[in-house]
Amino acid sequence: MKDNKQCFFKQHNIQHIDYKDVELLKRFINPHSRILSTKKTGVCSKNQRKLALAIKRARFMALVPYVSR
Amino acid sequence: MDEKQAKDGGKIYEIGFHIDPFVSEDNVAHEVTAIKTLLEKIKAEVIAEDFPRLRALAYPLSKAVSGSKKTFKEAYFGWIKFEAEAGEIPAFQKEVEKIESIIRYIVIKTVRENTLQGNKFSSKYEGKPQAGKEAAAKEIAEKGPINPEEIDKTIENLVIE
Repeated sequence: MKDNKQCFFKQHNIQHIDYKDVELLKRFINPHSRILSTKKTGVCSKNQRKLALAIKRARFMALVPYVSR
Repeated sequence: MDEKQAKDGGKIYEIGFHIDPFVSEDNVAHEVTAIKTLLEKIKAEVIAEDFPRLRALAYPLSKAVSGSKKTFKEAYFGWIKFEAEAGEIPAFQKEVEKIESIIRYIVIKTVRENTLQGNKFSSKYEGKPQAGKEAAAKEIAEKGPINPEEIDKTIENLVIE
């Protein structure tokens, strides 16, 4: 994922990041359940903000853990 | 987009909710109906929904039910997408809070289109193409080199069909 220069969401034409898409969100969190940085994900700033919001919503709804390990 | 939505009428919202796992499967439908009744009250139009399904929670949720604190490790998770007037949402949220069997809920602004990607991007999906390649390589190794005459015959058959 580090080498991907283009935004993942732009590549796959995803305009709205859904908090219910747990499998998709899990790609962007580390084993400690922390949100990966833009540097690591290669996601553009606009989508990184949307992604962070979706992960935080998923955490609130207990679909994704706040912390693990 | 807000202007477009304003022209259409209301705005698009979505409620996601966890229902108490101790509610029997037959009664889950009643709980969903209760939410839909509240939506009818605010003259909201249901766009899409997903019937609640039992799923394990990422961490235990706790809620005070009739004076005692209950902890839940699993719950029925469902969602309803609807169109409603922005001013009606706070009242709707207050009414949802009163439903005892709803452990937790979230109301968000969303879009009319389907936003779910499904399992398209799961790690399992990523692994499949590679496995497929390996299987194809094995198949080729077993069958041996491909005869060009056979290919021509199959192409001809396809053209005839």
